[in-house]
Amino acid sequence: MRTSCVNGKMNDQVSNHLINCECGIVGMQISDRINDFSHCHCSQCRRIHGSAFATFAGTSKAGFKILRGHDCLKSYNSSEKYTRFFCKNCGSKLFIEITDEPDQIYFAMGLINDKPTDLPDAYHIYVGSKAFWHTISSNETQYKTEP
Amino acid sequence: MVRGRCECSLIKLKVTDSIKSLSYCHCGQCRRLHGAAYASWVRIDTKSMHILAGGNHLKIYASSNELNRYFCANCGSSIMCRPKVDETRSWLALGILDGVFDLPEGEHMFFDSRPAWDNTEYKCTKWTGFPESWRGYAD
Repeated sequence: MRTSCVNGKMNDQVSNHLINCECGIVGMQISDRINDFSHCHCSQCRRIHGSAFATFAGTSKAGFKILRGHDCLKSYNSSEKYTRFFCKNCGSKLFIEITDEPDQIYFAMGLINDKPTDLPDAYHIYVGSKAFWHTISSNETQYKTEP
Repeated sequence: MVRGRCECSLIKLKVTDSIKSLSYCHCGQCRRLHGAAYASWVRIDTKSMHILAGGNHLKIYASSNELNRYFCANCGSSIMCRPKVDETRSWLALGILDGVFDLPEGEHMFFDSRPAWDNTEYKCTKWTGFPESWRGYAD
């Protein structure tokens, strides 16, 4: 499991977030630390999320729970490694599972309005594939593919 | 002409006229539905858009009294939105378009609805609500 390091200090604060899809059918709870925060510029994320990049926060699968709306959850395998979950009713993109990270969940930060106290520094991945129409204007670390 | 498709390629479309505007929407609806910091929309005349395949996989969600949003029922890709009062205009999700093509200058909308975790320094014109290019949307 990745550890969270904020401003050079180890952060043991635990998130507790209740998040919903836009129509409210699917409700989820995050009760463990956010241990990762990234913006993905790959073409899959661009196409599915309909924007320049998708933004995800990582947490332990053990601390992530679907509270309601299981029947409305649809999964899509965008590759062998990635399974993407969205709401069948409203289309909200919710979270991703990655086969070689079985203990992790990455949920869409679009579902969160506040700034979690344990949010690590963000980084950009798959910038080698980024959209021609997008310029990354922040100083965050960039990776051509993955770290 | 520009082509586009959803991620699973069931839905394919083409646009045969120019893109009229480019807007980045930071509103909560767009952020939740797109699972992103903001949605990227290009406005086109609906008559210039042709669904080439997979029209039956297009799921419509009425995200408000004024707006219908379209996504792929199979892979979840956000495809477009269209106001109910004026279906002659559509806004396509820029992420689904292929290749390189001309784009107008972008503008940010619902900029003050940005989430607290988004501390990016955005350039381009910023609107608190709808920009001029969306005028008449909710008339």
